[in-house]
Amino acid sequence: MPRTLLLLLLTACAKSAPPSPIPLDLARWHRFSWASVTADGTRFDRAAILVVDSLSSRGSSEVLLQLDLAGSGTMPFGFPSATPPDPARGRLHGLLHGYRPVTVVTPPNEPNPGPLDQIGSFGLPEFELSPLLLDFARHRIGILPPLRNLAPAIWSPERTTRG
Amino acid sequence: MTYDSSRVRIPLLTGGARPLQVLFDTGLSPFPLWTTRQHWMRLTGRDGTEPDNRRHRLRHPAGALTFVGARFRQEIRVGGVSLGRLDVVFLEEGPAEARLEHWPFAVDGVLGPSAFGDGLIVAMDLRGPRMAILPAGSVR
Repeated sequence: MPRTLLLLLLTACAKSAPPSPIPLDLARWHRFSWASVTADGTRFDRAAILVVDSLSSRGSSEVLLQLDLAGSGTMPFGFPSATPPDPARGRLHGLLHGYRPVTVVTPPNEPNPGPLDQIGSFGLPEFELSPLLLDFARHRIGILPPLRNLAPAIWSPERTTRG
Repeated sequence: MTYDSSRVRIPLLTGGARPLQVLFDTGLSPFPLWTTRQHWMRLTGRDGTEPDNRRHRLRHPAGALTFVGARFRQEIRVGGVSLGRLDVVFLEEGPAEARLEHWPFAVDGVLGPSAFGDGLIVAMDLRGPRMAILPAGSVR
């Protein structure tokens, strides 16, 4: 085979190979579940992200928390409102606050958390120092260690949006 | 993206003259993209009265909410990453305080987690501030 053709073939193979995954030895991965809610005939299978595991940074026992990056707990009804929060348990934060039941759709091979008594929330203050990774394919949330540039390859210029 | 100590806004490229500055949301709204009526009309090329628009009526402690939805005409992008053609809604009926135009801080919309699908990983660094969107499987 002519050397030029071989070189072209090797170059084509190299370009088509998928990039290697970025190694990330992250001790703090948390599995998340989707909250599913049916609201007046419309089913929202991705109504909210619920973390069933305890968050080690809080040092708490196992709780169910809604990831609330838009409101960080300040907009329980989904928009700025003077209406006091409904103390009823088992409700989501946000526009679907009025709806029950909230079904927790657990990832495959994950135990169901059972009846929902209380749904807390966590938001942006949790990530002031620790970058957040939301892996939708593997239903997991990663919290990178503070003040360490653990995986600089994540922030390649072509896929990063800056302020 | 920008971060003002309580909110993350990301620029959505929609083919318009300027990007939409939307809140990055993970549960406040169940819709992929909630925006104002004015932006909705531009994004969908509709006026909101079409019979094939989707209508979502929600019971809510502050009063009933009616959202009107349709598919955006073209792809929406964050930086160089396409989120595809998203369903976009606006609030047609509801209390004034719920309307994005009346929120006490400026925002063009709310981008929900269902906009991202299962094929992506979102990384957010508030100290940057910066956000990266990676294909699934790119982080071990």
